[in-house]
Amino acid sequence: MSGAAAAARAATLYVSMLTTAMLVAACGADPVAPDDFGGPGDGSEIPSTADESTFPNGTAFPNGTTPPARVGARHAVPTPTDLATTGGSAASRVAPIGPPGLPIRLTDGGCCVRPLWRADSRALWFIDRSPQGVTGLYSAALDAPGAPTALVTTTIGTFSPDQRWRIDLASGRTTLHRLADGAAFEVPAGGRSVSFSPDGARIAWQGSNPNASLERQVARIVVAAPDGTGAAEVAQLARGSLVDWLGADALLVRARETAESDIEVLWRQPLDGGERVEILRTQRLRNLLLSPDKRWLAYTVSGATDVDANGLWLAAADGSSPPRKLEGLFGAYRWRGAQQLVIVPFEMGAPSMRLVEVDPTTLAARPLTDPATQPLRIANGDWSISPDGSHAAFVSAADRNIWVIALP
Amino acid sequence: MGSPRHLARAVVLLAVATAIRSAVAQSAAAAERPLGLPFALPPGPATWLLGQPYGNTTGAFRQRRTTYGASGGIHFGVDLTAPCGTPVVAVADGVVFSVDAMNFGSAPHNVMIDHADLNVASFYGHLRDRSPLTAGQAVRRGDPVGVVGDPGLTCRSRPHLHLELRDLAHARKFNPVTLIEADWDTLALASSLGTGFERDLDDPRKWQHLDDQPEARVGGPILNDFARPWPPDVR
Repeated sequence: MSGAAAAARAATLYVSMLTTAMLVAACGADPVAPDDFGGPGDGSEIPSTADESTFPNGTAFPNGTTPPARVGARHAVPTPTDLATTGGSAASRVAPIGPPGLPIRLTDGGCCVRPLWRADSRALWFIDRSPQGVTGLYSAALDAPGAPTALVTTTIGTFSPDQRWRIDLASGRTTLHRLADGAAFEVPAGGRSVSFSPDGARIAWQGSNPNASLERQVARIVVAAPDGTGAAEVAQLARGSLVDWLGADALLVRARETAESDIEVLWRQPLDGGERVEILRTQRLRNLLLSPDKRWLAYTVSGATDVDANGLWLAAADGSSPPRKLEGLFGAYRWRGAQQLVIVPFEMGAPSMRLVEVDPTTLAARPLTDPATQPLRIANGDWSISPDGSHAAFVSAADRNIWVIALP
Repeated sequence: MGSPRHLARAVVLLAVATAIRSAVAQSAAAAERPLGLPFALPPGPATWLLGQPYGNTTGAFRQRRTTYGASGGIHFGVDLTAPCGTPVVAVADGVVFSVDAMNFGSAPHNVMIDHADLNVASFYGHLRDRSPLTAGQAVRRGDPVGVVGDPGLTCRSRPHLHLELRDLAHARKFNPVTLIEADWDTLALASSLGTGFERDLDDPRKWQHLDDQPEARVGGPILNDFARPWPPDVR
């Protein structure tokens, strides 16, 4: 046999084996999440100062009531008052955009990153610029997949959870706008975003000493009224941060045990002058996420010397029971309503990502998508769950557009 | 047509075509991204994960005139978080250019390896110990380079590998995502990308993806000093 013939035969054999392997894989069971995967990095050179992305409850955008203009169209820019609506979340879930688990493309042209859900879960909002040069917040509606996106406002800002306030950030300045009457209040947050309490009666933010090395960073947690009055520092945290509001009268905060320690401690910080209460402590705590009802905490541990500690954990937010590790299921996660944690398992090399849902009470897991028939690939870890829990949105790594999946 | 035999043949032909296309695609990808990862271990919470990506990160923006000011104001490498002592390996065959040349930064220890065939150099920063390698030594892809350390010098502060890819003059700095073969989309899932990339409101689509980041240059102009940045500077 000549060398060329041998090579051809070897190539044929290789292709045959590859084909067989592919057919077996295609007919096999759903992929199983590998053990001990997932968990975030520490972004160790990213300063701990808060920005608009730090506060999970401060990033929703308002209901859009103005008939939207299309990208590129000449239009009147809505005034801030146009955005003052009744606010709040939808009373019922939005109807599925398509069959459960089947991704539907909302935008084209690879337009957008970090989309945020409108509070009624009927649209996604994102920063973009039209061909005519109008930068603003644009909207893609669930009931019009593929339609041109619509300009909502040229004012870039974040919003309070009840969407009655817009938070404007300028260089070194933080201004809160009450949308109902247009009143504006500059608060002493120095250009940082703020986090609203669940009842909207207070705001909190964290300052830091940005010129210090990371090892010497101290977060100063300040609470005030939304008009900026009554500002008072409630905590100083070595290499710490404000995580979220635990209720109207308490914050969830974290810090290193000491500036030199790799042990991180999570506390309930009461605002009535009471003692800080420890919820948990662990090595190298990452990606804390409080459930919307403030009952559950999801977090990951990565890089801990106690190897068994590394992974994805669930804990009662009041510290009333020991944290539980999700054995064999790790990755990126978001809360779906108050009682379900949605996870994208960390499966390197898998042809498609998938969504899995875990009940924090029972730890029972169920698949939300089938990667064999519902392929999805998320870019930049950029995905979210609608406020009503009806849909997941993600930026596709394939085309950089926003896609939406109705969740079963 | 339509018999089970014809159907089976069609399925096999389709599978073969798909396999060939996949093999060709993989080969093309390998040519496009010729470097390997700097760890032999697979990623995970107990081994290593993507920390801060290369480029126009919000964290680098905040430090664009200080920490990152000497190379364009962006994060000019990729940070891979890992426990201290995690073995680091060479991303390609090459020759060691320097060991502990601190003009390259990334204390306490570093290594620069030239990969002349690929017109690129790899730089491994924040190593815990001085590398056993010596300048002029030939290395193969996957050979040990050193172990992960901590710029805080305690192994408790922020242990990670700072990996840079440069040209052979060591002046231009490239995005590792475009040169290292890896499942970056999945790695990004578990990173701290929540803070994302800084936006230029005059061109908000610019530099917003892992693989769409600008090249940096030692001593070059600050790339992310946007007139209308989002999020804006804090006081």
